Amino acid sequence: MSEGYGRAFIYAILVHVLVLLVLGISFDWQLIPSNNHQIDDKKVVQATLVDEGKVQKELDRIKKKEAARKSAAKKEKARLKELVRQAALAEKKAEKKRKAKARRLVELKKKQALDKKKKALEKKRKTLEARKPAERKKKKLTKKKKREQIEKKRKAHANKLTAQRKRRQAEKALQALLRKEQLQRQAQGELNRYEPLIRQRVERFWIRPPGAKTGLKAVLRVRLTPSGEVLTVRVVQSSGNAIFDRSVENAVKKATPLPLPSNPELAEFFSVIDFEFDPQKG
Amino acid sequence: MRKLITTTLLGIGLQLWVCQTMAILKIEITKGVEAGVPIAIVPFAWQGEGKPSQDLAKIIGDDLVRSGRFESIDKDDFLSRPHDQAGVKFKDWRLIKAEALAVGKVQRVGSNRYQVQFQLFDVFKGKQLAGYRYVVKAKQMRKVAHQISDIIYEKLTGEPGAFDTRIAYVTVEQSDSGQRRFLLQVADADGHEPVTVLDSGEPIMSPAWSPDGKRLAYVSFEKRRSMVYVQTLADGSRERLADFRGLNSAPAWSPDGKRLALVLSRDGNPEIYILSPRSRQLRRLTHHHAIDTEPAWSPNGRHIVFTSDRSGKPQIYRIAVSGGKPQRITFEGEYNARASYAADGQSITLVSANKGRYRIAVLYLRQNAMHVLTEATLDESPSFAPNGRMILYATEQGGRGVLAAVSADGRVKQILRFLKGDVREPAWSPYNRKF
Amino acid sequence: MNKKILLLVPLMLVVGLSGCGNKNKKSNASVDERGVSTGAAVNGEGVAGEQFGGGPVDRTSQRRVYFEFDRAAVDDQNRAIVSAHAAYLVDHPGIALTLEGHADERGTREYNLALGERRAKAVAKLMQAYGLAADRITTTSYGEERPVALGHSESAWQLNRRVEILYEDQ
Repeated sequence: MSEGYGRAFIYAILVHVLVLLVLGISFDWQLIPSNNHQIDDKKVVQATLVDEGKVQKELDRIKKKEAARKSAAKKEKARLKELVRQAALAEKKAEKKRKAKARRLVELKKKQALDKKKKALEKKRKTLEARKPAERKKKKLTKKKKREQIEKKRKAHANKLTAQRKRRQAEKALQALLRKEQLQRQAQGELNRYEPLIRQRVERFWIRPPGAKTGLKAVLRVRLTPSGEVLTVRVVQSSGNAIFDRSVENAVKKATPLPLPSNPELAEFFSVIDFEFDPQKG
Repeated sequence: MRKLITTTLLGIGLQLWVCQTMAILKIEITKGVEAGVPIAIVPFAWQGEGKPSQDLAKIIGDDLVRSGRFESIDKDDFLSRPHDQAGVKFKDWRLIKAEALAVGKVQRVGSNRYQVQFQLFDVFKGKQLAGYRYVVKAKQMRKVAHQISDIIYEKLTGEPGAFDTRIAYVTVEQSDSGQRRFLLQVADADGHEPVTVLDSGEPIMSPAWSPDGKRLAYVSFEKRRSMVYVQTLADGSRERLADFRGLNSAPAWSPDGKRLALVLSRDGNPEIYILSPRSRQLRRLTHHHAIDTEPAWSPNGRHIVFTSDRSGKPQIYRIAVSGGKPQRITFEGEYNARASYAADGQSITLVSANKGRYRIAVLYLRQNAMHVLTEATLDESPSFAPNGRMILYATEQGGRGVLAAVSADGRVKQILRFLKGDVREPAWSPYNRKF
Repeated sequence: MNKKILLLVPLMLVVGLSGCGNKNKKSNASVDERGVSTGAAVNGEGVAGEQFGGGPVDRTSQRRVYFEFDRAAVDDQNRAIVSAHAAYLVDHPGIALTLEGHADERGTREYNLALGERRAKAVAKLMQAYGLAADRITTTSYGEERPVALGHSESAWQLNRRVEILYEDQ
């Protein structure tokens, strides 16, 4: 009995560690998109820079940063995989040990049983000579022991199932994360492909009011359907000039539908877009 | 135990969801197109006998397009033709990407009395931006149309329109016998409804509007040499303002209308003078043996810009009205002349020549940046619309002088085709009084 | 000056002055009056008159002095014309002189009006240098308003950058 709890305890700890790891990763992931923002921002800034040296430097910095992020992610994934593998290994070992122990126990029991049988035969022979009540009592005791053994086996099996289930769940969570990461990677690729398409389309429809270069800037939050239809446009940051604000709102509304990836899972990454209209940078 | 696991798993899920929604894509837009705002102007409904005297929608559309700030959507593209709010389906207009929609109707309400109603809508917001009603006579129809253009322009650009204004110019007519006649004319800003205010066998030059738009100063050679006159438009009465020995030329009103700057060579060579007509007081402003001419007042009335060739070639100089040393303000181009201020005082328009090509340019004073707006070779006499968004000038086409308007950004140019004869020397009036 | 030319001078003047006289009648022109552009055309015919002169021509038959673009300097050839007119006028005190400056169409109208005056004054100054009294000379300018040649090329422009020498009876 104590043996069973002990295992459960180990599994529990394992799962916690896993969960924490997963949580940790998910936090990391939260950072990934924000990293992407930075990269995007830099991209835009670069486009406006005239100094090629600076641009190159900036590019190198971003590349380095990107490489560091990638290698960290890779390391983290390897660590996770290793952990899962080790957990599986530990479980296998424990299982082996448990089986060996059980085998030994069975052997021991067999031996004991044999001894007992011998003794019993001796005793029987003796009790046959002596009397019968003691024999009955002994029978009862054996039966009880057997029942207990069955129960123990059942419990061990149940624990094993639970552990397996937990492991499967953890693996599933990991799988989900991996899938998500894959999507994100794909989305990043799609982002690089679609961001200029979206920008160009909005730019084509933006009739910039003359004189808008004098420091006017507005930010719109735009919600899109997976097919790129503009659902809502909200002025997150007004330029303070009604004509300018109207021009940028109309630009986005007229640009509908915006070009999005055809894969709806990827299009989801584009469901909300913040458009920053800043003619001074142009 | 299981509960704990499920909740943590749930937490992870939540975390993932949150992190996904937080990944808002940010796109920076720094460039737009330099184009007109697409506007749909539905032909106004007519409720009366016969046909309306004027196509208001067309007048309005032409006005707005000429400004360079609008594109009038072809009415063949319209999916519906409402004439009031009840008939407007915004979806119809969003589909053809109209940002604004103007509808209206004209109703006869009495003998030679018409009610004109018009409404302007923001198509994507689906709301009315303006609604007006006028009761006018038939001959005021064009004026109403120009006033509607002004309202639309102001609502959609945030700046006042200048369509309900006039232009003065000189037309030269050649009779069959080879006689030339010089006509000083005034027309609507779109060139329609011209009226001759002076008819002479001798040249007329340099018409200049008084700030109240009621009088014109000009140079006439009717006495066989240049003299400056001031004529009241309402009754045609006029007065000879300057007939000194030598040149009398280039009149320019001060913003308060109380003084005129002009050019006289009575002291030997052309110099800028300031004349107060009421007191007949004359003050000489420039002192240089070079040519000093073409004075124009700054909107605040404190400075005068003028053309001088004191550096060898004509360039623009600025001098305080109180006097002092003139400062040269143009350095780009071999020949800069005939400067005049925009109403905001931030820029001047002028004729700028390079390699023998005379073109209309705008000089932004603070930035000291010159933008050449036209491409012909003999463009001249530029003057700003009172809102500073367009410039009227004279150019050559098919061997005759024509008037043209260019948007202050140089993007849209249009010849005023309604004017006949050899046309020159345009001057844009100040704002008109409304009804 | 030989005799032949001296005989020719009055003949030229008759042709030339017929144009001036024509113009003179219009001097008190009212607003609605017909223009004097025909007068300019007659002056043009006066120039044509030099053709039958043959031999060395009296330069007073030439009634126009021409200029470079945006310039008011009188070159040697034109100087001779001016000097001939000055000499004649000194000999004929009854005739007054009007010098009418013109410019080609390039440049702004007001500047060209001033440029025309500068040209007229340049000629007037030269006349005085040749002995003509200042009070007999009137200068005026039409700027680019009265071209003699239409067209937008140098061949037209060079004819329009001019000072017209006009004699008027006093």
